[in-house]
Amino acid sequence: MGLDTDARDMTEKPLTRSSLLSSESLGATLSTPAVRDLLSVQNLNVFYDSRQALKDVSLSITQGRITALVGPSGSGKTSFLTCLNRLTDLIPSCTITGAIHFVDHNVLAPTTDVLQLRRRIGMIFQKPNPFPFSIRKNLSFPLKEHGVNDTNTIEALIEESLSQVGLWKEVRDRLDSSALALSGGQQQRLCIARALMLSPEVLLLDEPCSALDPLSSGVVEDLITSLRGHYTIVIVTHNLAQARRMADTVALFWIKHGTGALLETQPTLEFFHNPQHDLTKEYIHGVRG
Amino acid sequence: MPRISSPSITLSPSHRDQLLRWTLWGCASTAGLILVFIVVFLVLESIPALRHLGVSRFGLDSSWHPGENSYNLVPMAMGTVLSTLGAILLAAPIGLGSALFCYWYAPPLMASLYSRFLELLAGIPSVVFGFWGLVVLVPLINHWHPPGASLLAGVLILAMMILPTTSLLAQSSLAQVPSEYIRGAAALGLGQWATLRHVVIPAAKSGLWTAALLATGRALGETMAVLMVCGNVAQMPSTIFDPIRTLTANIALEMAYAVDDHRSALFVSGVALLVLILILVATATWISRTPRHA
Amino acid sequence: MPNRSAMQDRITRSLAWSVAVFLMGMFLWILGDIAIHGVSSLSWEFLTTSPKNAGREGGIASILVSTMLILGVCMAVALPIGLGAAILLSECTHDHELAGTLVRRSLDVLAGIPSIVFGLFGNAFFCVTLGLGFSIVSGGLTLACMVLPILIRSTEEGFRALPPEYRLSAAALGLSQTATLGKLLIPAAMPTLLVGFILGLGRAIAETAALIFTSGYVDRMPESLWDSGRALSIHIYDLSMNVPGGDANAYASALVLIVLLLAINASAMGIGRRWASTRTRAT
Repeated sequence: MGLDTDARDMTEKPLTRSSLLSSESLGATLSTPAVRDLLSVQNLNVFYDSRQALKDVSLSITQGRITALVGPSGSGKTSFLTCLNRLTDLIPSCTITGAIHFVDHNVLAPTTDVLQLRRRIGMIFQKPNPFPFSIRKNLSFPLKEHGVNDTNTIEALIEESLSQVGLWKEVRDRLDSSALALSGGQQQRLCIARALMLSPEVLLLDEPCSALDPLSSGVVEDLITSLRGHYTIVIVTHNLAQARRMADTVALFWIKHGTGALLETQPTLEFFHNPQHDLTKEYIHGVRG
Repeated sequence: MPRISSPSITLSPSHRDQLLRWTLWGCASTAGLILVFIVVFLVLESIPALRHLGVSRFGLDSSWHPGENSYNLVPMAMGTVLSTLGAILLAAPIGLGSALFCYWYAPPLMASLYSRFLELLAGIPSVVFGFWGLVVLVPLINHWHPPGASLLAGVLILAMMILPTTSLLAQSSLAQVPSEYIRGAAALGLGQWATLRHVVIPAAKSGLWTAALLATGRALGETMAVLMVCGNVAQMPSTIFDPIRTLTANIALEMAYAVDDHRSALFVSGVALLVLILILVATATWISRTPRHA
Repeated sequence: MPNRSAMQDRITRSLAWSVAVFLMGMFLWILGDIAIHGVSSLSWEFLTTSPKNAGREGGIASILVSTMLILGVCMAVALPIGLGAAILLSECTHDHELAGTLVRRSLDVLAGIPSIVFGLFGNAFFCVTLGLGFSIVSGGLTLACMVLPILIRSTEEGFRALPPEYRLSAAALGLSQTATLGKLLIPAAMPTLLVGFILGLGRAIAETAALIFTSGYVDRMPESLWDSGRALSIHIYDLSMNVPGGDANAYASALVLIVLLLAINASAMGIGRRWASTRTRAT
């Protein structure tokens, strides 16, 4: 029921992603013509108590691509994002109507195994928040909780994840030192590595660079771009230039009558050169929002 | 963008989490029910005496002599009230003075050391105060005016016991007075004493009253120290040098061997004490919650 | 006018200082008196032999053992319940605000109840109704009731102080509530929990009235938790009030009690300070 069958699949899948990283599969993923929609959202409404934060949003997230969610503050981008991995369960006053499907599974069904769902859909927050553990434990702890106990596998995955985020060389000699001693940019990359340890299929990123200095921000941005194809990425950003650089698809959220709504979704080039709505044009040119 | 607030338990399908939730609720309920149990048991144990003896006998019998079927609690209630009153009359001004010292007059290092010392003193067991009172204070008073073990000794020891907490509580109320008030007073050319008297203390009034009430509650409930220095004679005192017995000491002394109605009567005095203290604490809480003047 | 004001200021200043000096002097007198008289009777033997001759001679070995056992029972019961209740109050009351408020109010009231009333309750409930009689268990359970409000208050604060991001990231990584609590939040809040535990211990060890008719009076070495046992505070009371000539040992016992309390307080402060300085570093 729900994702339970896939849960068994998860543990049997080979837990090394080297296969994914090889150039053949990279090319194969990108050139596959019939790219499917990994996540599809229909008529999503989000309420906090009686206040409606998001109205009637329908959006599809394509596999392997980077989708950027842009728009002014309060337009519901973060609310949308947190629905995708059911993190809204943690907000007591929140109610959701509509449908979200992850592959074939109904995300919003009460019987869905949220723990498995969140393993397959990872999330990175605005403020880097490593656990008060060592670097090694930050990475191994979630994996162990999901049932992987073999030390060799874990060590191999630690090296892979840290290499993927570009931290391996920097921290390989101090894996047992505290993660809190790392710089802001390093901590954020560590958080990404921590999410990657679970071999997710989707990565949700909520303004991952906005709490970082420009240099670290650039490094993290490059990292996210490098993950294209291996993961499906949904990123909320205030930075239009960043969206333009990174994204394959851009979705603009707007505030209409005090509620967030989806205004326009386009592939990046069309979004910036040929926007359909006037509001979009103004937003791009920095007049409003 | 709404900030995700403090999380709550989700509808996790995991059985482990469900079990955890039940366990946590069990713990919280147990903790919350203790008060209920205390009230219930105290009342239950008091009922026999109230039924057999009736309430009026607790005030109208000739004396407290359970062996001779005499159950007048008034001398001991008097003992409690007088000793507490005396203690708070002493401790309140001294505690305020001590708080003012710490808040205003003491150099910072000294102020923090002083506070630390007071915190330490607040934790000294009542039995130690009582013991010292017994071996040092009582003989001293005896020197002056026998017998020594008396209302006066009780008042003095109680005052000493509640002073540290009174001082600390008063100090924290003073510390909450906004500094703009003090700056304003200085700008008006008020001297230190005038500022304290007309600005700071009135502004901290509710906190100071709360401190006084809580200290009184503590003094009311104190057992060991008064037991050890007051002489334990169940009679109405005519001077401060007379020995007295408080309600609390009464319970402590006789509970071990009291049976039937006698035991039940002790529970009645316990209930009376509890009600009195709860009223004090409730008043203190109400005062501290009432919004202050503009 | 300025003269009067300056005069008033001088008077109040000297008054304040006198009060402080007087108080300090008073309390140092008390502590000093106990220290001086107590030291002369204190020895290793004193700590390791049991009381003889109603306590006039011998030491406090059995007393110390009884005290430790009573404290042990108290903490063994209060810690888990306190931890569970505190976790619930800090993590889970959003959906059940009324229940949470009730529990908290009840604990606030509990904190103000005098120890003699706890003694009455302990006697009525643990000794009589539950049939445990005068025993270490009865005393320990009664103390547990007294110590719970302190434990819960301190522990709840510790959990509230944890960054909410921990819970969010843990949830986003698909970690169960149990794992998040047990392996992330509780270890992270451990210093505060320890401080709360130590404060509770300090309150419990000072208790007398609640134990007088729950844990009993017998000064023999207890052989089981169901035996009656005499705590240190009660020993001091008995020696000074009921045993002529017991003053010397009473002084020594009081000194031991104060030293224990100082040690407890010092470790609480030490842990608190160490925690504050290692906030940014972690294992």
